[in-house]
Amino acid sequence: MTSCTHIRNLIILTLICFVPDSYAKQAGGIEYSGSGFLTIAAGQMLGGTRANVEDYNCPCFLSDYAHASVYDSRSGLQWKPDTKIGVQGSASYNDVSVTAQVVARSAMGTADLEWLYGNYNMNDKISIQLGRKRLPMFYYSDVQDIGFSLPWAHVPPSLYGWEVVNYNGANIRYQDRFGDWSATANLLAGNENNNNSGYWKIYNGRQSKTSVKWTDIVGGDLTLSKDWLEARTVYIQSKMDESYGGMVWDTNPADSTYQTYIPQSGPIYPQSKQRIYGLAVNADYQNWLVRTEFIQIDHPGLTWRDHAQIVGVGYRYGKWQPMFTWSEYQLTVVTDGVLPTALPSYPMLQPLLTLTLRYDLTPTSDLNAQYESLKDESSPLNYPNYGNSRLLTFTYDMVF
Amino acid sequence: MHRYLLVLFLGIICAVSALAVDIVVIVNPKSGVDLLSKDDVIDIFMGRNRQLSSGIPTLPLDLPDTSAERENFYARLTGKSISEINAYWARLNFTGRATPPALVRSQEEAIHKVIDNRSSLAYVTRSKISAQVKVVFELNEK
Repeated sequence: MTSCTHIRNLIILTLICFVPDSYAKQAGGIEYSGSGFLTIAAGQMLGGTRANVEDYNCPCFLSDYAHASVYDSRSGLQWKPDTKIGVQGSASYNDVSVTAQVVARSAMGTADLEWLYGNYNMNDKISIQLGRKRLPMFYYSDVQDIGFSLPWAHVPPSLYGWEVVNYNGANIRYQDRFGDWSATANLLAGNENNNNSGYWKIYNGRQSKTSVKWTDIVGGDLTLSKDWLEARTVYIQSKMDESYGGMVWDTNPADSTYQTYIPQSGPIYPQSKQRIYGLAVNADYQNWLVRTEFIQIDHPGLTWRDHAQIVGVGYRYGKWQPMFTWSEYQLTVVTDGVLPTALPSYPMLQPLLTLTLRYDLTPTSDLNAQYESLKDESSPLNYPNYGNSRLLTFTYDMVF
Repeated sequence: MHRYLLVLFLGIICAVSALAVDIVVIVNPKSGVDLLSKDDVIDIFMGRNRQLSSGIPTLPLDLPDTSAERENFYARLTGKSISEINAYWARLNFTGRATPPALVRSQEEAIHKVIDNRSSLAYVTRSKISAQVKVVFELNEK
């Protein structure tokens, strides 16, 4: 870690030590508030496909693609992949506010500025935000780091495992009621530039650096809710530009002893566009909770299409909440009139079964025990191919 | 012996009565609001509505996590536990979509704030209220 990283971590730890509980203070007409969240996780691989994949000793479970959170078989009980702490502060004056959120993750060994945005409430229904925010691709995107607000130990990676989670830009949000229905509509535009993508460390090696640029991001989402039912739809499009930035892990399948980093630069595949379509329908009916979500990503000009979906059913029994979730990532090869690219495509299919047991420890903390089993039914021509995996995770979540 | 049984019986009656207390939502008499529906109260305390029907901005007040009145209020109003309510607020608060009700330390403090501010709303047990506040919604035990 660099000295800057040490200083950032020190600042965060200091903030956490001196802010034992969420707080709000007012001075000179400006209202300050602070809060935070913590997840301490411990997980162990229970089995799966034994292989050296990139520089990982597998079986491996990829729990958070964007931040290269990988449970492997090198060690027993591992706490780094999902342990994280975040602090958030905001200052508001009348209808204007500024909010910042910093998250320190064990997986990346860094503390990063996740959110920094200004908000202006134009009126009771419309607000404008400008700055760095979470890209709202999914229902739980905004809170995917806040374990206490999730019904799982971590969001299902089959659906939420993407290379970009934040963006710099602007959005306008409209909230209203129509009869018994509440509606929230959001339009956004911006860009994201990440020179050291966690996602691509999974595919190019832990020490690799890969640049990811999503430009001309434009989109919107609409959420409708009534009593126990909530439905959300999203559309986002952008240009994509992804390039090797130095060393990548190289393996010769014919020679198992040949495994090393080699220099590599230039684009991974030609600059392209993407169109993201998503739909979520969720219910909280009496003691039952149902979570369903689907996403499809089209890549005009490339030779594949991404699909991912989840269906989860849980039941609240006092402080206990058992939940069963099925999720799946699928890559289909698209050849209709599309020119071949530098990156060949082969079908992928990765169903994931998740069993979660949550226990509400206090009104602001919980414990989770989670078992996950992923079956990799992808084409063997895909590389890297992480194969099957089974993971057991325990988490302690709190907000403060 | 009979005296002990009587004391025990009266104790149980008192405990049951304490659990079954009515919770009422109160406002300042100058708020311009006479009555709220259950949906109105849900919208205000769950951050979906920031304005009373009279046009005055709302400032809902919450009792501490550990208070039995808070637990009863949300259980009767929404059917959800305090943990579920807090998880809901974690989602809205950390994303800047809405701010949770301001926290007060006791029912007495809540009542004082409602008397002092015509935008404030609070939930308290019926036995605590005075003529200086107006009841606009009642949550009786089911």
